[in-house]
Amino acid sequence: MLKTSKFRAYLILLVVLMLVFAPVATAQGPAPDKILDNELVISQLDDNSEISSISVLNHVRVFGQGQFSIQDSSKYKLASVRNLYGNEKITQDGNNLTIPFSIGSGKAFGDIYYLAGIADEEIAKIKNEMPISIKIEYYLDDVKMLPSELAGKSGHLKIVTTMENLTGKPTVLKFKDINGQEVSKESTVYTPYAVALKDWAFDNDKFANISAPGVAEQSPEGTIANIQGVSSVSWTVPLIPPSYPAKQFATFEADAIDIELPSFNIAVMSVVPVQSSIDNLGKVQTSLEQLYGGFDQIENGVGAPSKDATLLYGLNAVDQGVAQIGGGLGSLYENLMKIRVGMATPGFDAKTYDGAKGADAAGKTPGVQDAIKIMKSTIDSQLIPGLMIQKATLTSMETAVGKPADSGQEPSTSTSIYNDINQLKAATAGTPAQKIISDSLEPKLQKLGKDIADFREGSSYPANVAKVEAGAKQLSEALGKSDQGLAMMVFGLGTLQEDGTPMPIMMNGKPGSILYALNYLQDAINGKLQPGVGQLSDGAGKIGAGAGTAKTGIAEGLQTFQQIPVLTATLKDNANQASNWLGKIEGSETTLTYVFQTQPVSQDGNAMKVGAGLIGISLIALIAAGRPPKLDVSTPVDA
Amino acid sequence: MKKAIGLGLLVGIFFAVFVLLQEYIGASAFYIAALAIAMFAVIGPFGDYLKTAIAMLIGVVVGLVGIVALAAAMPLPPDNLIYVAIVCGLSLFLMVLLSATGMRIDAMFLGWAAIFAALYQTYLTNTTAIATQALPALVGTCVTLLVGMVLSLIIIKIAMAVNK
Repeated sequence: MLKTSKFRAYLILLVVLMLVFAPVATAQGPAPDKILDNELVISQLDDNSEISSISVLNHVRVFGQGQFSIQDSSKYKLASVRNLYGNEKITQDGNNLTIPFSIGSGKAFGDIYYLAGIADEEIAKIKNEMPISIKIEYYLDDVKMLPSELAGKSGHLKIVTTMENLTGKPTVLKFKDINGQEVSKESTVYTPYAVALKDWAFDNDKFANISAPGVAEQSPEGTIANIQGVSSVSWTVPLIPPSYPAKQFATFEADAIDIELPSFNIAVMSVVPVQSSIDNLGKVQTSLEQLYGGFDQIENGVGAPSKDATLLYGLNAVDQGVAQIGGGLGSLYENLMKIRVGMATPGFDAKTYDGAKGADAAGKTPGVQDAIKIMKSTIDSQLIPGLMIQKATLTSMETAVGKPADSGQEPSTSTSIYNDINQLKAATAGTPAQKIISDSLEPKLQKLGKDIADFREGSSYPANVAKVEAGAKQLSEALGKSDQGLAMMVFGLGTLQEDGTPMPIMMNGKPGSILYALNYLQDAINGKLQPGVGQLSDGAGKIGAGAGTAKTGIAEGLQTFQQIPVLTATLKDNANQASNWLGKIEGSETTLTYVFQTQPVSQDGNAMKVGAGLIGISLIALIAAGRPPKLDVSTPVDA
Repeated sequence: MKKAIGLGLLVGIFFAVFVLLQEYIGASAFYIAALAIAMFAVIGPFGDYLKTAIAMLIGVVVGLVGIVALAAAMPLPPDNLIYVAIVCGLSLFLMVLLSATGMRIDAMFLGWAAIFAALYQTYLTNTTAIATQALPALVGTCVTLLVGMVLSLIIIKIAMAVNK
């Protein structure tokens, strides 16, 4: 009894110790150095290119040595879990999986590949959660068909695979612009995915004229390798906005006979691809920054009318200066016009000039040149002839007086007074009359003759008739010269038209008169220079506005460049976050690949029907003739 | 002699036609049919060709079950030779047991080998394809063996006719 009691006590103690220390022992178990978890999500596409089933091939690699129990999980209900290449028992508790690892000495790591089948009821939900949609359309002679309908047919086959990245989400990107200002810009950022349609094999006996054409910015061109009777077509489609469209398609075309197609694999990986192409974006960015600087200088150089030391300010000053020049020229023109009209009245008719009225028949008053002409005409036509007549009269008078020596002629109307006096003195010689004649008349007559001669052209009279005549002639000549000079001045100032405007005369391509030149200049200023300056201002303003617009555009373009590092980092973050689909093992490094498998196009169904028929025929033949003959087992009776 | 030549030509033409049409009847391993044809030598002129054919089909089914079991329920290649050995051993054990019921063991082995010839390479290189290729392979193997058996029957008839 005592022994039994002791044994029970020890047993209870042992159980208690086991219960207490078992969790501790488990907790103190070795932890793996590193865990790599690679998921391959295999989606089977049906005839309508809808996902019909999904299984996940999970490769777990654990680094370290000893016994490990790795906990994995699944966010979807699993229909089955199978260890593919080993005999370790993977236990499933709901959506939690326990994967045992036993890594012996001499091994650095252990691998377990397990295949998890997703329960069918989860497929509908998963279809809407897939990051990439794949749609495959088949056309035979441009008629859309299901792949199952293609088997054994012939014609021009076209397969269009449309891929779309569905992961775009509005994201705020923060970066610094060219002016050093922090910019927040909302962009739709995707998780970067590259789709590989790899080695789609087409038997050359069944397919000819194979092509995989591309369309710029919509569809990449495929590569075709013809190897040992099989054409292998591949496409790589990066669905990575903004560098590549989120939705693209790949096209295969060929002339097909007796169509059969294998199941094609479409692999999808989350990746930010590193391109081997030479990156010119840096140079472009530098160039754009320089361009921005150039436009900035242009904008500042063009400036504003109120901003000193700018083009618009200068043009505004030029415009004002031109306006002043225009005003000055107008004033100069008006004054010169007055001078011109004062020098010679346009249309003045000297012939009808009425001295009493001081105007011609049309009421026009004479200008300076007109007056000079009138004066010269008066001198030439009246004064000089009058003086000549006076001189001739004086000569006649002098002749009539005669010389003191004139005598001996019988006095008559044609003899001189001296002849007559001498005759009279001779007749009255010795008489008082002779004395009167000699003492009174002869001296007076002598003085009269002398005065007449002097009055005509003697030196005793500074203003004798001959001098006055000569003076009048000189005056006439001077007036003539003045007239010529004034005519030259009038010509120089410009001939006026009836409407009072300068006659447009061009000499050697230049204005032929001052007034016309002023008018020409005024027209040029008013008609061309001022509008030109205005247009120049407008143009400069437009250049400034254009430079500002260009700056804005370039700044926006530069923002595209400037956000590239942020965008790339975000894409990489998204790519890292998208490295797991089914479930993540705590502390593991994960990678993820999706594979979509197309429905094969095969004539196996028909062949199986024929084969089944042949099996039946063969069996019938064997039943009919393949059974052993019935042996005659009767014993012959001896006769 | 003339009869022998005629029947020989008939067999030859039948086999040639079989080879030509193998794709249309789902039989890819036509050479297995030659093995079936060769069975006439062991079955003999009074053998049960129907029973032999049924034994072949049983062998095919056993082999297919073994392959499917390997593909679906056991660790996959390359480190699974022990499981292949177990399945092969069990298969042969089963066929030996079945032979006790009167089925020809040689025919069952031939059927088993034929289905393995059709599917084992696929099992090694692309196990998942077994799911889609198992049924066509089953039909193709059965056709091959049964056609071979029919030809075998024709040949024995020729031999009997020639030798009277």
